[in-house]
Amino acid sequence: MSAQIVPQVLVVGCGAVVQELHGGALSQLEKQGVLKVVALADPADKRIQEFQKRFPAAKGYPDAAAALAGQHIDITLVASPPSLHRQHTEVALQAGSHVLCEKPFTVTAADAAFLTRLAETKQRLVAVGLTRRFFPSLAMAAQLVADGSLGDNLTFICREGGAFNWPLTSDALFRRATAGGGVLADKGVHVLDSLLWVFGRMNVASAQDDAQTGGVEGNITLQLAGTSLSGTLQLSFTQALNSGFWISGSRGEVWVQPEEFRFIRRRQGPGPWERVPCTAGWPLDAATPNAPRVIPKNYDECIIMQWVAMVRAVRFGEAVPVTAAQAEFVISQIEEAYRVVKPWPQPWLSPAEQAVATAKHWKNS
Amino acid sequence: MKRIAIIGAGGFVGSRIVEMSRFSGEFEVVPIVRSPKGAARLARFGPIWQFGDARYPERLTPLIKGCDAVVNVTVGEFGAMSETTTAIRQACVNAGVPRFIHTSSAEVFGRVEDPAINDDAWPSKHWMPYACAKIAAEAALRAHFSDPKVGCVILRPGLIWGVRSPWVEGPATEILAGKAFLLGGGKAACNLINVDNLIRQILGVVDHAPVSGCFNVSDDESLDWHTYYAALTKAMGVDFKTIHQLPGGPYRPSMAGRFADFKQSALAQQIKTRLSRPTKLKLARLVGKFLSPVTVTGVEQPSQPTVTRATWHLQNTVRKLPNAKYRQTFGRKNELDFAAGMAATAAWLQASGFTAA
Repeated sequence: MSAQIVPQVLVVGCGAVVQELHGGALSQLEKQGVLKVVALADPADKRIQEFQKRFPAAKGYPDAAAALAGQHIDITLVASPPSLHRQHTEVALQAGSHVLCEKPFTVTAADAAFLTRLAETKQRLVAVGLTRRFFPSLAMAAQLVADGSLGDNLTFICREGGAFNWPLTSDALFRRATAGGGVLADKGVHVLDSLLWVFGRMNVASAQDDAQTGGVEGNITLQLAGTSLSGTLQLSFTQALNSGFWISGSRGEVWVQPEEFRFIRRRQGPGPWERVPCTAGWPLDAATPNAPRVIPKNYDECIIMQWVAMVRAVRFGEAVPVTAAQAEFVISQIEEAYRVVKPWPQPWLSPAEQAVATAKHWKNS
Repeated sequence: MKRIAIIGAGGFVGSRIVEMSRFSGEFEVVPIVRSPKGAARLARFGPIWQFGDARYPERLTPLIKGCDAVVNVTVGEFGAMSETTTAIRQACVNAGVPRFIHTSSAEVFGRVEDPAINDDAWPSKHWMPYACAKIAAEAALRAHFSDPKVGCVILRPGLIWGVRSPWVEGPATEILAGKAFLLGGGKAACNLINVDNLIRQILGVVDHAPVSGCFNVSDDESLDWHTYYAALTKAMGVDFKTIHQLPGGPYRPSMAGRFADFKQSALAQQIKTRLSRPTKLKLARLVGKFLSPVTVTGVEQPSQPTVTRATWHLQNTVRKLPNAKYRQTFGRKNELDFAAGMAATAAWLQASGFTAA
């Protein structure tokens, strides 16, 4: 695609993630002439009308197939509920559109593998929306691991927890049939992809969660292991954790704080932490082949950079930050965790409560 | 077996009531949440929640029919608290539910400066929007105490602490960040109630014949802030000496304190409900840049505490509220003493990473 042609964008699913996150980025990029939102697909007219306030020229459709029929779409944003990602991505690829799919890519690894193959067959790009790939702090952590600055025998602790506070429009996220799981299938996709970026491939050694019969986990702990590497991942969407990402090696430590992605903390030995600015950046210019890289100032800019990367991938053949194959690996790790998971010890409960929690664990029923 | 509707079941207290029900089997619950995000804390038990907006009695009525009691543990928007409380009581009338238990707060009596304050006293004016909302909700409910159709019980817990409590997580975060502080040696009263004790006291009301009245509820011990923070630091394996000891005396806010005070004001609450998420994020970033510029690099400097009017107020509580009326009326004692509650809390803090590195 020539840099002069403005990609036509279809948005599938106009719920919270589109309203809250993509809307601002798409609006800004449309004003800059980087892309044009031409179609919106959602079964709820109300959501389409709400989004049309930002994109009055975009036509509304009740589903993705109707939107893709009879018009050329360059990029489809799949932001429908996770259980529909496979169907909507497939429809878009069959129609010849590239796809930016919101996380999680799919509910099952088999679906992810199917779409990876289909994208190859159709020679279309599939990128997965994992915006942490634009966090300078994680880029720097990955660099320090890769260049051996932290030494060997790496260990890590990664915790993310807090009361769930996303303005959902349905409770599909809390049902195994529609979400594939709980906090691991939701937040875990982001975090496992970040770990994959920083350390490369690891395997799930063990897992413990708190899901009961018929439920999905609100808390999960994974033990992960790779070559000369091991660590713990703990996630919660029901309670606070002391959140952060600590990596320790024979030559030093790094501490990445989730809310401060332009800095990391480093130290060698038991001394004080040193706050270090991160320098990784990504293009904000979608038109120039060798555009300068810019350090994102905030989360909104990461989303804009993700869209710019998508347009650049379509125009110049640059790599997308998260490919379907990478997302497929993360989903396979989630499936493995659910396969081996055992009850989460909760020693703060009374012995009687602990016994019931264990007996009613979803894998024991 | 008693059947209890929990309005606000997705919150900290509500979700623990649901958890106790599921694990003890002593009572049944009908968990009611306002929006999908409220289901997160219940999701591990399966889709057991019902959606219901507490502002509309006609929507709640079918959900609570057949229940022995309705418990209101919502917080919601301060401006709607009174309306919500009245609406829930009306739903109880409509559905024939004999008991309505409304959780208010000991904060309605502020710093408890008057030694004559008892359970039946009328709360006076308060500077804190949260307390004002609780006072208004109490007044709205007390107007119905003489109506025998529904027994209305107002429980006034102090700071609800224990496993997963914001009154544990908040101080623990501050302690680890080196920002925790005690004013005047931490000698002021720390009016605590363990979440499990509160729930047992709610269950005591459910098991009793319907009555109406106000009841202060708290743990048995009379503790000060020094004792509470000493126990928390010990549970976390942190040196108590890392807690800043600040002088007592009148409130003198810093710039950060003034901003934190504004965030808790009624005006800020109103603004917050009207702003979109992106606008809120932009505002937060601007203020954050102003208060702590992100250009600082190099060796980390020791953190400084931020005293807000709310924390100053709490750490200057004069005395514990009397709590004998509850026991005299319902005969239920607390099951957890402070040591047992802190042992459970310590286990939770450790499992959640709130420990010294």
